[in-house]
Amino acid sequence: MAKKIVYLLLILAAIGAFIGYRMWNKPHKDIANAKEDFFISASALSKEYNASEESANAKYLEKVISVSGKVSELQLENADEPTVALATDAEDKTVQCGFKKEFLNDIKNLKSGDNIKIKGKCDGMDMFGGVVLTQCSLIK
Amino acid sequence: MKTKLILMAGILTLVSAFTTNQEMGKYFTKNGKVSFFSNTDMEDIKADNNKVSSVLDTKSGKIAVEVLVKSFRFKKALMEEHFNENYLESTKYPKAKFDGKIVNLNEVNFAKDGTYTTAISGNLTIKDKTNPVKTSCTFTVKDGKINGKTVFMVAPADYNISIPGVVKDKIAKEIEITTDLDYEPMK
Repeated sequence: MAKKIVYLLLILAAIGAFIGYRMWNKPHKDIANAKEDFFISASALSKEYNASEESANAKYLEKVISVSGKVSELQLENADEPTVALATDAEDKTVQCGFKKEFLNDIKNLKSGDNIKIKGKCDGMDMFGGVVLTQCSLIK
Repeated sequence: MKTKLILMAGILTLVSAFTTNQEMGKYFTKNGKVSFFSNTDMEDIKADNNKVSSVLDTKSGKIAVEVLVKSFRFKKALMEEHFNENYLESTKYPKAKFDGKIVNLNEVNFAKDGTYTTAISGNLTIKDKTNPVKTSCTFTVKDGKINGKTVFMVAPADYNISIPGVVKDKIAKEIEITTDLDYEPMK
């Protein structure tokens, strides 16, 4: 009887350890292949954020967003996170889209004025009124 | 006619003097880097943020830095989750900010290429706590651009960041913060 209980406890411990190991090593959410929570234009997203950062954060923070817009410029100086800035109706406001460095080849040939779609995770608004997306990928 | 030409020349010189005064103006970055590192016997924790925005006013010496907490990237997804949900509560407090200035502006010559190490001081706000911070910063001026690097220590306890007893030994009492910001002139 005691032996059976010991075996049971050992099995439970093994399961627990396995679950813990799997959680510890769980992968990052695959944003590129996740279903977007929102599909919106760069102008509309920027407008909402600049009208009310708090409301926009309540709606978009941490969500997967597919943004469509025109390329304003490429910002490749930070090699760890190549970035595409999308233009908006407001001259000085952009949607900043940060890509992992593995995707540099996807974006380095983009030109100002190109119409593109990007999927990424919304991190909020920066000090220049720019909406920031990270973990971005180009939607073909 | 002559006086008109001289007047125009005078105005043009004045205008160009103001516009080429760029080196004494404002600089900015939208893709600055801030990393933090926690070292204990049990474990090393490291995360990078490459979406840091900042403005540097070389005329007044003022520096403003904003960090979106959700842009910190950890190798381990679970660590990133705990960081955001439990420690920094980033949905409630999406930004960390630094507002400060170069203490002795005459220790840096932003108009001349070179490397300058000088003290900066200001207020650091993480979550809902603000504390004064003083550290040294190395500015490198080259070809019209400025790079600013700092390293300083932050104690989570000073910012209402409570570490649960279970993981107390895994997180250092003081975290090392490294910043590396590449500024370009504001147009």
